[in-house]
Amino acid sequence: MNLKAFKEIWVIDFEYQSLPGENPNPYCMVGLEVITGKFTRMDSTELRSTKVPPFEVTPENLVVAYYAPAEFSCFLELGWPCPANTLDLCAEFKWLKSGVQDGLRRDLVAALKHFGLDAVTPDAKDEWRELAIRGGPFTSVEMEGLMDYCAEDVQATAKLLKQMSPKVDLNRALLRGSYCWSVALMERSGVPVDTETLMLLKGQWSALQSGLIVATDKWGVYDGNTFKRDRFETFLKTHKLEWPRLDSGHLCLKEETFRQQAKAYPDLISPLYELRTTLGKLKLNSLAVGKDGRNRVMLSPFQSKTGRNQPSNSKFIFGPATWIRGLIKPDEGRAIAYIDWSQQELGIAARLSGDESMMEAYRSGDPYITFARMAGAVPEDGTKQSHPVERSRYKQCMLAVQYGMGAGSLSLTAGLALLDAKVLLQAHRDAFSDYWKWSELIERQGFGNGELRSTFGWRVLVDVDSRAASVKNFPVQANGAEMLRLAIMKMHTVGIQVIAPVHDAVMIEGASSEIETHTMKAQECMRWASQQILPGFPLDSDAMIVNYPNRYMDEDRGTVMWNKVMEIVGGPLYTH
Amino acid sequence: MNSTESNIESSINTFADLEKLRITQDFDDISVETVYTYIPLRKPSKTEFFRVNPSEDSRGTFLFLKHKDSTTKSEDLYLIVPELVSQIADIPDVSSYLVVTAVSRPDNTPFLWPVRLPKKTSFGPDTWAISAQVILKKAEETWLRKEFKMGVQGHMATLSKADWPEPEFPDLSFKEMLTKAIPEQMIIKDQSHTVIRKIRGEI
Repeated sequence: MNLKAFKEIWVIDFEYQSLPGENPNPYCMVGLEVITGKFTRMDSTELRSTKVPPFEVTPENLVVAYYAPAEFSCFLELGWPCPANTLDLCAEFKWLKSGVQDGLRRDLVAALKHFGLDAVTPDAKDEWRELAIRGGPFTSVEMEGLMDYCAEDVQATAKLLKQMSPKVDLNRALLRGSYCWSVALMERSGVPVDTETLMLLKGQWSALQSGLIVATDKWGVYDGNTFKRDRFETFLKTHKLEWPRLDSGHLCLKEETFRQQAKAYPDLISPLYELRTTLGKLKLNSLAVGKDGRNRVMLSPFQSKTGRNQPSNSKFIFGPATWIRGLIKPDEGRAIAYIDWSQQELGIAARLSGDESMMEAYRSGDPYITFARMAGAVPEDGTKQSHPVERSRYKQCMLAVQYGMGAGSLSLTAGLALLDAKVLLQAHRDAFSDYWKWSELIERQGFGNGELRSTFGWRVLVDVDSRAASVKNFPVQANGAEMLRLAIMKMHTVGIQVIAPVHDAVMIEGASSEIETHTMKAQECMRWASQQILPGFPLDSDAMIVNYPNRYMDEDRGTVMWNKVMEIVGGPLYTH
Repeated sequence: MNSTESNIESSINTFADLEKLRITQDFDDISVETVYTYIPLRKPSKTEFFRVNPSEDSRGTFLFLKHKDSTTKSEDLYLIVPELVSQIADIPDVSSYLVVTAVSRPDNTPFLWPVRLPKKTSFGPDTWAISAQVILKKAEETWLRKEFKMGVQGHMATLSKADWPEPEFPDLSFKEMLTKAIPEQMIIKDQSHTVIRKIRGEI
């Protein structure tokens, strides 16, 4: 298919007010039909007087936008229908540049510059953006100005379309375009938040910081609210803990290092890691919660190089420290369900590599104990209960391989001697040799062809600076992202309210009386989506339903910290 | 709001054409060939499991001079061309070796293993060389690793019980492998070779 297949191609843009956590308030819209050159302009009064856009959104026509979820959020606000075909040039610009680490933004100005086109200067954009944020009522001069500015963006987007269209993989781009409507639906729904407890936390943030340090830092690593490197060094020496260092000899205090070390030393480092994450990353005032108590953020689809959504960490309820998810609470009469694929990444790797042993391990329901059995580390009748230590080791190994770790990192993570880590990795190679061959082929093709593509066409560019581990992991991650997108789109077609995408999971919402049915339907959609990526190898999912007045909690990683925080601020404790 | 409020029906004919959009994830369309620029001539280490190619075409007997460099402490083997043997009878540590093709786990990494052939000694049987021969034979059939035991004055083997795949030997002739394993400077073709002059105290 090419653009000539369409009867009309409408490039559109809205100007709207977008306050944190709120739905948009559209002020005006401009559309340009690029074949005939016909323009249409609507101010806010005209927009709100109709339930249909001023052009047909039928399968013969195409709607083009730069970051289509924003335009669709206005469609939804106005009660307009979903276009049959969407081309989002923002998604496609990200697709074109996926994996390119140039430090540049992926906004309209950057895309225009990339293609050598004149762009409205960022300063001029800011001026109109500020006017939009200020909000109405507008004078007629201001409204005309807003619409002129909007028209400039539309014309620029039309020029961009002309430049980009020969480079776009149109059929698959339309599939990505369809997802933009789903993104707008999720952004509009938002996640219900317990605002009472949020206010309590905000009100006591200073006291909470100090209280958390006192409650957690039994070793005096902090001085006031400041993490002290020298004290931490003394703490490590006292407890005889190994810690990675930089070339300079200083302790490596990167978040990833802390995360790994927290796994290696759960008793001593894990509490400090949670504390650092909470104090360093949690900005409660940034959490975008609207007046109706719902957390709404730009989900930024296709933002990561694997095509995953990448919403702002500080604004999204699933972004900051895990315990904060305890703020998610359905309203009266409502319920939510958190549904995640069981071992999604392992399932993808097993099926796509065609490794029968890995597929067998996945199907067994407990791949870790099955792997341990395959390696002869536990007897044929060994179970999670009878051999917890062995299972844990083989689990660490399987996860380490998924993350591209070598023996050094595995030994650190699992607290094993280097030789033991090597033996474990060798056992993985022996048990899953087809997977390793496939992984090798990915690396060769990536570095050989300079790019890789997932089942439905998301791609990453590979060059000499690319990390081999990331390249090898791309098919699993990108296909996982694609699976999630398909599942969410499917859920929307069957009337399920998806309120958030979360890596390999979704959160849905519904009336308490219907949530079980909706959850089952959602799981069917996830199973269907998994089969689109992995023919003949459906992945199952696990669901956690939370009914009002209960709250959601990541029980493994969030409960302890949540309760510690609530004890300090006098908020509601979480019990299983 | 509930998603059912929105008119989504029109958009999702997309799914009807999914099959046409599918890209294979087999990643098998790059065919590659492994090129070895160097193949080490060495003993198997005590930690590595290895196999020996039983084919007669993959081995050969040669004379080597074992020389330990007093400065670098490295112990090197120098290949001696047969014509030179009668002229270097005064040089110690010259022995016959059977050089065999071997690969080690897990990646079938190739190396040439020089196995010294037993010599007559005044102390009785040359147990080190004899036990190495036994291990060599065993490694033609099964994955094993070798370590020396001073107590028994010989080598011992640890046989793998794992169900590992059969070895894959490099698709190279023995001559090609020798060329990659023994650089020119490690071949003694005449008496002017540096190592001969060194041993004789000429430099």
